[in-house]
Amino acid sequence: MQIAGPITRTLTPGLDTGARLERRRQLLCLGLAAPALLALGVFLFYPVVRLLLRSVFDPSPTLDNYVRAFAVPQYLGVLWYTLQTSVTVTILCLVLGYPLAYALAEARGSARSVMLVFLLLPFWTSIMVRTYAWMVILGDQGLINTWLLQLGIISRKLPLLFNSFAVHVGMVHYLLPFAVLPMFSIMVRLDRTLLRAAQSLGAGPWHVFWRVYLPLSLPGVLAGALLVFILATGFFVTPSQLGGRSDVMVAQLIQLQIMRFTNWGFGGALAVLLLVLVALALLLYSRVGRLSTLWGMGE
Amino acid sequence: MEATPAADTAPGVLTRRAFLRILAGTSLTLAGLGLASTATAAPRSAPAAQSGTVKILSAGGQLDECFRQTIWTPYAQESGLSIVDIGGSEPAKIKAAFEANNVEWDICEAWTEVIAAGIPAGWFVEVPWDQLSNGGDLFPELRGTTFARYGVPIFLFSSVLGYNTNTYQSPDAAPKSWADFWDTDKFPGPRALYAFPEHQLEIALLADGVPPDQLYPLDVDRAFKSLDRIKPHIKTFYETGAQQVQLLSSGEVVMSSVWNGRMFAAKRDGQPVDFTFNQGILAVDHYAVLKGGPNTPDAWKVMNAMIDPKKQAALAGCIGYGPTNSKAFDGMDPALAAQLPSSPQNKPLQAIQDLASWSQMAQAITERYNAWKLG
Repeated sequence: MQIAGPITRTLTPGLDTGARLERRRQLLCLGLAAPALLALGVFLFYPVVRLLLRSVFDPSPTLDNYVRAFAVPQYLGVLWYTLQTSVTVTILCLVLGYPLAYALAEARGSARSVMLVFLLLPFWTSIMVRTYAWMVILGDQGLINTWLLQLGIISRKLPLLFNSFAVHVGMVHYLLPFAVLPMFSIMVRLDRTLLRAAQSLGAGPWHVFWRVYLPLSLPGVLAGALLVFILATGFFVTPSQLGGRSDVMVAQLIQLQIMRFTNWGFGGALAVLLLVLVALALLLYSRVGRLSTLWGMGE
Repeated sequence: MEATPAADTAPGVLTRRAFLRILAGTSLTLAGLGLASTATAAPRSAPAAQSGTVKILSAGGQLDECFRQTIWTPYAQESGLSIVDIGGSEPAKIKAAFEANNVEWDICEAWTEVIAAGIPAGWFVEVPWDQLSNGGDLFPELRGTTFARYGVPIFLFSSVLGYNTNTYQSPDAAPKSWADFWDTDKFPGPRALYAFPEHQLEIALLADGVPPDQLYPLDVDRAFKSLDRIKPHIKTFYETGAQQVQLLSSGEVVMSSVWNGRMFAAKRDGQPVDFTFNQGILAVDHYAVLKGGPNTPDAWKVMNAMIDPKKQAALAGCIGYGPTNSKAFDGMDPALAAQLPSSPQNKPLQAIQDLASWSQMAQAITERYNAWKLG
């Protein structure tokens, strides 16, 4: 015979108040987040969803925009180049950023503050200015070529600008802090006693690093990789200014279709393809790592 | 593999699933409302004419600086109107304004893609030529073009052959024609072209030997074959006027197709660049009045001021673009006139761009040009 339900509720007042308290806490959370959610919803998600809808409804329900994106060879080629470049830039940022993050995590007090300032200082400069600076450094009459020629190290100018090399340099320069900061935040919270324990068990410095430190810092590495990759796929100023004629990334084509040609359906389709690329990266990440580490939970 | 199950489903915690559901729900509802509202939008009643203010959606940058200095600010003082210019004119902005039933500018710069989008969509007000007192003095061939119905020709500019004067130290040693640009034996060195095909196809055809008066209709295939020959020597494609000057003056390229106004200003600033009007491509820049703008009557007054001969002469002195009003040359300093594309000594050297055919084929050709650049 069931005597649960109403009788249970009156017989266990503690549970009832607990549940109500929890719901109030939930509502409070929602209330606090509501303004930000509303802003995000109105200014980010709503326009994005409208653009995505346009890609299949402009001018009438049709998949023509997607057919065009796949049929005209240049678009897939550009998407492929975007993917390639984003992956290489991500790897470069991780390789260069890991030792930097390590040094930051090991530094103490004022040394760390100074290093952080230098790492974050470039954010105060606009990307256009930084890109032009690279043109001055890498150009045929630029700093590097002039110095190397004068020192006699080279006899002919090196083609450092208007090619893939320059694009990579410019992108890595901009994205490096985005790789370093997540790695640094994980490394700094690493339990040092684990390293000492490994040493006390007889592990040499290389083994301590390879078997203990590196695996523990991996969540930071993955978070940094994901962040850099997502940002890299959307780049268009750097490739258009520093790149050669074949260094075209998909964001440049989207900009062309949307701003200049007002083909919002087709631009939307290209944007959807880019979004799919990023979503695939997120999917890959969620298989390999924990998505929750992206926002600091679960560790 | 996600967050620990306990944390995820504990009572009271705003789970990620719930959060994502709320977010998706909000945005889809908003999107649905948005689609519904555009479908059923009643045209907004035009806002009360803002008497005394005229808003111009213009090109921005140095061109606007010169416009402000020589035309807009002086006319604002003369007439008591307030003239506000907003840089960054793009077809997408205008299209968005029309879709939202909120056209906030009176005048816009109507370049090729703006025309291409605007005429079929009905963005422009027909020009009341009888109301424009200066209209009768414009060069006659500019009044007869297809676009003169909707746009007022304000200035003439040319795409010309620009070169670095450290490489070519005297005009005799310098390249003088597009055939020279294509001649990499006699004139070795990296070059630059425009990132968009406008004028570049004409240049390629002229280099291939097509006489200037037989350029149109463009033999596009022949132009691309000609471009293929110069492609290995093109170091980069510039997108802005500032880039052109930077590439040439820094010596990154030895020659480039350039806009004469940019060269005019760069030479004045002492940069090591020069150019020739020979075989230049002469183009018209129009400004148009947008339908549904806040202050159309005063907009036509401003347009009339923009084709006033004295003001056009002053503009030419600032940016080196050619006046469209023939009276502007009366009493002009001959040294200045020699540098303008529409002056009597320079105009005959050039070919005039056919804007009508360009505005129709710009998109298709740009796509082909982009593919060509990548290949």
